[in-house]
Amino acid sequence: MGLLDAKSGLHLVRYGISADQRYLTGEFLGTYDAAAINGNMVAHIPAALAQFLGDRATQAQVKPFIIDPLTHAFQHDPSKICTTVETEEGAETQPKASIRKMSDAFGEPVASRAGTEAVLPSDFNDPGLRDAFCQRVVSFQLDTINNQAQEKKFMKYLRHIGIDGMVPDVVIAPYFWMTPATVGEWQPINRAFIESAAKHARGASVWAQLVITQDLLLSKERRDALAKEYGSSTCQGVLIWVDQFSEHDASYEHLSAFAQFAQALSKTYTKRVINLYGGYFSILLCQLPEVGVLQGVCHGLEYGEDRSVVPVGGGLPMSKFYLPAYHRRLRFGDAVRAIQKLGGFDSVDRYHEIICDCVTCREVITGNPSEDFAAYGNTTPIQFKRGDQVVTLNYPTKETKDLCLRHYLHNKRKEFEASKVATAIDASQELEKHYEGAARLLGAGEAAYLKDWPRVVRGLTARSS
Amino acid sequence: MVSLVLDRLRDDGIDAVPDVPFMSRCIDLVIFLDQDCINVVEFKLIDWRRGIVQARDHLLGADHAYVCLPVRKPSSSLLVAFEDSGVGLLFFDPNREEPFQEVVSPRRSDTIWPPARNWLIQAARAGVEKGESAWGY
Repeated sequence: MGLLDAKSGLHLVRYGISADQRYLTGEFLGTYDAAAINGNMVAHIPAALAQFLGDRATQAQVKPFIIDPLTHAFQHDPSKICTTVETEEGAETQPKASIRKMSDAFGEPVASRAGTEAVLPSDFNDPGLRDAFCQRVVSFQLDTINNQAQEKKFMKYLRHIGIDGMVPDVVIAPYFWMTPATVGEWQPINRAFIESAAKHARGASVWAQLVITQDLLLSKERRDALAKEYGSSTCQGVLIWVDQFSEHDASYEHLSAFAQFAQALSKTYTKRVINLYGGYFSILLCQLPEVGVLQGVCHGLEYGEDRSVVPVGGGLPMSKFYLPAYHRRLRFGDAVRAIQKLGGFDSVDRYHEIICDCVTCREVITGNPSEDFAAYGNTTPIQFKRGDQVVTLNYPTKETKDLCLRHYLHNKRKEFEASKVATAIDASQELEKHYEGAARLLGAGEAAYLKDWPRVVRGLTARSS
Repeated sequence: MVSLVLDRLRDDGIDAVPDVPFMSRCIDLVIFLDQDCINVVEFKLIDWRRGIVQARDHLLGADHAYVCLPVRKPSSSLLVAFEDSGVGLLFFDPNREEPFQEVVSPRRSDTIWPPARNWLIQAARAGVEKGESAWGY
């Protein structure tokens, strides 16, 4: 039985790009339970990933990981997975190399369409083709890193300590994104993938990945139908990804609908449920074992507590600081004002007491907290063209981004650790204490989550008792 | 509108620096009345609510922040929003002899943060060195 099938309060971190690796190792290796590795990374750098996992194997186990096969990538506008390359005949649009390798591994019906046309539900009508596709997606997860690992010298040592290979903790069935307009067509196919994956999983636990729009959650009828469909399937657990679902910006109705949906899967259908893109609200939902809502939460390294299914433009990078009291990343200016109001610049001790005492803040805030805190907001001016005008904007420096991210990751670890000893009701009361201050600073709308999260938690607890 | 205002200020002997990057934003105009008083202005044609948010952010480094709009008949919601925010409201009419009309006075910043103050001065000084202002701060 894998970690995802057994443990509660799981903390997963997404390994999205190679640069993420430095924040998943060293001082951070022990801060999370498992890594969620993007399938295109597995296709692109399997040997490096085997090395990454092998180098950190300890106590007769490799750091647990899962591989997100990202099959939904092939259902969107093909340009979203393409890049422009210069050839002798001029600029040419091609699928990104990592996506191409992944689609080649998955075979038809995606291989011939990647980068040229979107995959449709009708492409999976043939049960034989569907099953073969499913088998390849499952094999990709079970074999790609493991095959590389078997060729590494360190396997001799790993076998000595009882590690025979590097297989993911669970296998994820292929999946496609569903909207109100497409759920009727994709749902039967996604369900068939789950059943097919179970046949090809070679004894590994099979999980479903459910990727949906927010409006599918709001309708109780649709929500119940989805819960029944996935709840009655053979999967052990469900990884949920709700498109652009920011726990901080979502309305009470959306938050409540999400929690009720997860609770139905978890409690009514006894599936294990993990939110693939979640923040502190999801951690609170892990603190309700008797209510049965979530068993784990995954987040990315940068702005990774919610995510759009269809990739959107990156926007301009901005300095943001994760304020532990608000459990939220704030624009740097807002963070400064919040700390001023909370009295965090009064002294070093006061900063560490009421703002943050994480490893990074202990390194940074050492003398004059007001001056020292500037390290989290240092920028460098960059000029670029906007229309006909040259515009200068300040971008965070590399060092600033590094400090902000390290501070964020240490705080996520603290949130998960605290969730194991405090009740969700106690944690909710802490949140509510900060509502007025946050509302004065950010506006009532921006701070509403500090009231809405506790309200949802209390509602779940009340319904359960 | 920024260049019109800049020209007018310079005609009046008041020097100012346009387009000053500050924290994650770019301030439309920084006006140094003297060493101890830095005023900033955000220019908006329509979205004055966004202007208030931007201008308020500048108060970590500046003493006063304004939003400048083309002259218009002010609505009560506009006046209340500015009075509540502490951000000043200017109307600009290039056809008048005195083109600026201070409709709402700003409150002096009570959130000045020394590092941000230094960043603002440094950024404005860099603008001066690029020749965007003749003012020798």
